[in-house]
Amino acid sequence: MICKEADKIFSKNIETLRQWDSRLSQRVLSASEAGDIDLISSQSGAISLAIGNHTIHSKYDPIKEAKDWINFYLEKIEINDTFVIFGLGLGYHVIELARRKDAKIFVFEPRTDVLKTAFKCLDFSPYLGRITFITDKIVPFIKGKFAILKYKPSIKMYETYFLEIREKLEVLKRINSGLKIMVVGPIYGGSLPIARYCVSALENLGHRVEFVDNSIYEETFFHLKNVTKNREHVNYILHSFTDLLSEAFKARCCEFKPDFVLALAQAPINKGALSELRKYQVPTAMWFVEDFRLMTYWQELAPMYDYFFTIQKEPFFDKLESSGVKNFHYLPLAASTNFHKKLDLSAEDKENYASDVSFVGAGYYNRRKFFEGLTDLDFKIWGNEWDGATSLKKFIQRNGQRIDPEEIVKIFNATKVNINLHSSVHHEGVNPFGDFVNPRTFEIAACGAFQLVDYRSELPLLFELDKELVCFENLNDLRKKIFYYLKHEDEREDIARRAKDRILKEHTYEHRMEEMIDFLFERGLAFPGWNRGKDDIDNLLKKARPHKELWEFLSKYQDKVTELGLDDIIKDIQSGRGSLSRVEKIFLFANSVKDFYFPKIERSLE
Amino acid sequence: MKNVLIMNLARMGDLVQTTPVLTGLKEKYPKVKITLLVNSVFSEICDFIPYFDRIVILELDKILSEIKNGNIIGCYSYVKSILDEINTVYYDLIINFAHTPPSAILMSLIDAKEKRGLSIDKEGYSIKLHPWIRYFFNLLPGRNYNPFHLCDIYLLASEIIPFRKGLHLSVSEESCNWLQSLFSTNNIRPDDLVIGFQLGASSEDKRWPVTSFARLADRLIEEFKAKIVLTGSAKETQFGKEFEEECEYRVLNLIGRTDLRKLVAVLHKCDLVVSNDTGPLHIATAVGTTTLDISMASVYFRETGPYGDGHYVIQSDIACSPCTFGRTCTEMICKDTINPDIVFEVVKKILSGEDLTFIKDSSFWQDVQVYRSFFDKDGLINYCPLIKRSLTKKELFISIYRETWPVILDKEPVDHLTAASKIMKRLLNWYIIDMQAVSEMVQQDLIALESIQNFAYTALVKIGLISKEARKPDPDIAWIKDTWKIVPELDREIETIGNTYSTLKPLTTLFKYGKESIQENDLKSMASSAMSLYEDLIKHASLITEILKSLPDLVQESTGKATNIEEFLEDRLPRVSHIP
Repeated sequence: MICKEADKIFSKNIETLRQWDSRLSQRVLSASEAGDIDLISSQSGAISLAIGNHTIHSKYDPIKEAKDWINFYLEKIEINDTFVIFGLGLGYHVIELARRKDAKIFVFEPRTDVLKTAFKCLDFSPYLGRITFITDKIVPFIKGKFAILKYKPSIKMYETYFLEIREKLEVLKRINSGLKIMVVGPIYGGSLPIARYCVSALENLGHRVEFVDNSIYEETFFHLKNVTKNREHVNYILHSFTDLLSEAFKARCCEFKPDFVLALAQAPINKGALSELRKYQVPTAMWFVEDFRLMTYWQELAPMYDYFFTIQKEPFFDKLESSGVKNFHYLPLAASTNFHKKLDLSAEDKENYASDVSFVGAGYYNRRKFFEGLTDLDFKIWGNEWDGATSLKKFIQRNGQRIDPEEIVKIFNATKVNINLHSSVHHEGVNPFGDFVNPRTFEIAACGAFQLVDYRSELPLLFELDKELVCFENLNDLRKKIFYYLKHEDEREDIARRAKDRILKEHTYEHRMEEMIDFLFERGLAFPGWNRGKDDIDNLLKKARPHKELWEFLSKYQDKVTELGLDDIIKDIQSGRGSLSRVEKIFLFANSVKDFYFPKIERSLE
Repeated sequence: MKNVLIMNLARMGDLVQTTPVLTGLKEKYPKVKITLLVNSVFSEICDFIPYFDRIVILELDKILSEIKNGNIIGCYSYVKSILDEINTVYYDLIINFAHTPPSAILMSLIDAKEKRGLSIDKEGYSIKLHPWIRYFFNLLPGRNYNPFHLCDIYLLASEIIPFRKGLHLSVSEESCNWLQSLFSTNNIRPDDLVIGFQLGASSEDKRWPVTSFARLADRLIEEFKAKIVLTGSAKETQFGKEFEEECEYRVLNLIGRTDLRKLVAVLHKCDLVVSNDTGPLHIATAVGTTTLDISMASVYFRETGPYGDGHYVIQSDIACSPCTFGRTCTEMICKDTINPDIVFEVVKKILSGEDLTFIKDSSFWQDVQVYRSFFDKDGLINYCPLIKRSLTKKELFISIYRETWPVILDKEPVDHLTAASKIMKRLLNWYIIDMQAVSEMVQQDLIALESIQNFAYTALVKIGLISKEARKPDPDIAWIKDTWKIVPELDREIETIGNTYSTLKPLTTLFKYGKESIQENDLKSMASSAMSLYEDLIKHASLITEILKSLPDLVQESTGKATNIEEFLEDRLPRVSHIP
């Protein structure tokens, strides 16, 4: 039995779906309906569905059934904007929800032919812009809080499928409620500020971050480096020092119990520590913000990390694959918009930092050579490691002292044309084969400042060239463009503004960290087996039923977290204000018993 | 007063030390029902504690294990069930003697008309309810100048002084019979001199060395044919073995062989117990056995020494004694100063049958002092030094504070001259006094006391003005805020004086705790509570000043009239009665 207008409804549905998800619409069209789908007329006249021996909808009144089902959920759920529905059937309940709530709806249904049947029976087209159908096991990255609505007749039939989906959604819930992430920085160098930006971005995204700041050992590291002229001895000492820092990292890891560890390039973590973390199933990720051609230590370390993020694509990807690295992903650098921003400079700052043309960075070989060609301009060079660059001496500011990051932002803001030349130890100027994009590109852009940057093959992937960013290919080209843009202030400002807009839209560290976690999720992120002393929130609520006060107290966590422990409750109470409730006092008491008596009895890492 | 809850989640010794409060409550309110809330680990001793009606046992281990297993519902249910059990009665009064953060939170969960002890306010901030509870917390910073025993602070916080003095535990007949047969099989006759040794203590630093105990035993056995009985728990078995290896003679080693019931009987049967400051010392005191407390390291007899008439303490008298809490000493000279010969001499004097009220000083007694306990005229325990030595600043202030704290905390009326003459009489009896030296000694303290009064007075005036403004129908809040600004600065000045003059630290610390415990929410009441604290501070500083100033004249008057120690003690020290 099928309705008379089935073909018309189906075409309408499939046409609308094509606009939103053409691949799925294709699959629905080509799906062949299995013989077990049986459409029956209910007593109310509406079509009902049975699959094999299972009745999916009421034989009396499926519309009323859907309404009751939705009422049941909406009464107890606080979430209003995102719903996940397990099981489609003919979709009465899905349409009822879409009608009642202007919300995003994700519907999981393992059989495409059931979806096809539903499309023939009910008109989904007004809602398809906000309903996503998933008929495989790929769970999309749903941001924010969502409620799961289980349509039991469907679940009964495909329990294993829904269990698997539920597990993935649990991971997602946990990600959305904030993870515990340990970020490990290097002792010194270019990846250090990036590590800090990652920490701040992750915190902004609502995660709890523990930063292992190894820069506190910088002085010691350099003392050790110069302890003797015997290189062999120095290497041994530095190696031992890295081992020691690795131990310190492990110890902090045991205490913090992270959900995953993010190491930045040059982080002092040795292979032993990585294999131990693997043993305890602590996921590890490295963001290798270096040139793989120049820094080859990735060959040894990359296979030891569970996830490896790069700022270069091919041929690096090929090499990673052949080294046995499975989960790698391209993650370009970005800007920290809290820090790199447009400033309203004081007259004094303008006097100190302004120039027609400037460059901020270290005195690499190619820059020393290249910048000689700009010595007829109002040109300032800021940064260190310029010793011996005699021809540039009068352009080098503050005798080549290191410049504070805060001052760098002022320089970017005060300069009419910022020069951004990627470093090279081989080339005389522009590296014609340069691929990755350096942090400076994003940082200048985020400041709303104008830059001329040497062409890199990955730049067109990130910015619209000439509209958002202007490149040069050699010295002549650069000089020509400098003169042009010095004369055309309006154009300069327009380009800089567009670059800034692009940064805010796509290239902040928050975007990168989101993408990183998205990738981890897609690749089946599983959490480590730390004894977190936590229980599943649904389970807790079930157990709390006999205690009204407690149940009410715990209910407020239901849509916020997937699992809950004493520590979470205490943290929450302590961050609150006003009078304590009785339940809160009971938990505070239990926690103080733990703090006061536990050390005397037993304290273990796990 | 119908229902009272006494909370004490601390150790066994602390529980025994709560017994005077129970006695006092029953004497003052014969119909009162007393509920005890105790930690399960130490609840066994409650079988021997008289004068309570109901017991609620809190299993802290259960809470810990639920937390460890991540079972927060189980943990909640358990705590809730205990609270329900406690709250089956509405209490007229709860006193929390535990002083720990868990007990403070627990106290806030119990319903009662009046609460005393550490608690939390409705927002979770710690509050100390009752002046004497605040005084208790003052013990840590002002420890060296504290004249009050823990038991007495408990009593003062309970606002009772019992007629039946001392600690109280009952002894079971059954265990006395067991002991009689044990003694007879071990060749201990009823008329033998039995001396108990408690070798263990709650921590290593509080333990007098086993070898010293063994040397003492050798001499007691040789000279008095004493029968030595070793007591202790199963955890202390090792000390017993060491002792048996060191001691020349056979002793009755009951370490780890008695339950609490039997231990009480053993300690009751002894003629004298020589002990470290630990649970069995208090049990022995409670069953009426004379004790000799060996007080070292962080142990301070004035706080936790034997609580009863006619007990003895040997305290190391070196500059660093007692150690500050929480410090680890690597060179425990105090243990060496109390050598077995000294302890033997004291025991010998106790056993001589003469009433031991005075020990003649000599180089033999160098670096130790011997005290004898007695209940003073105020009904509280006191310790009389048996070796008469020069008065130190510390002893001077201890004596002054003994008289002044009740005036401030209990609002007892007193005039400085009466107090000063009482203090002087005692000091002249107990110490050698060079008044010239004493005057010089306290010169700076007098200046500091004046400063305290000035700062407190300025603050008092400011708060008075604020209070006046606050009472107006439309108070000028901006003006109040501006006027208030100076008050925290004045408080800091007062605190600084306390930090600089250790003798005055008890004063300033208690004042600070008082301010922290102001609970009122409206400005008028807050101002009024604060004013009363400044008034108390001024009153106390002024009283001490007046006492210090009048001392030289009193000494002058008393010259040549010094009475002897017996007159002072007024024959109140009971004689040791078990000497064969």
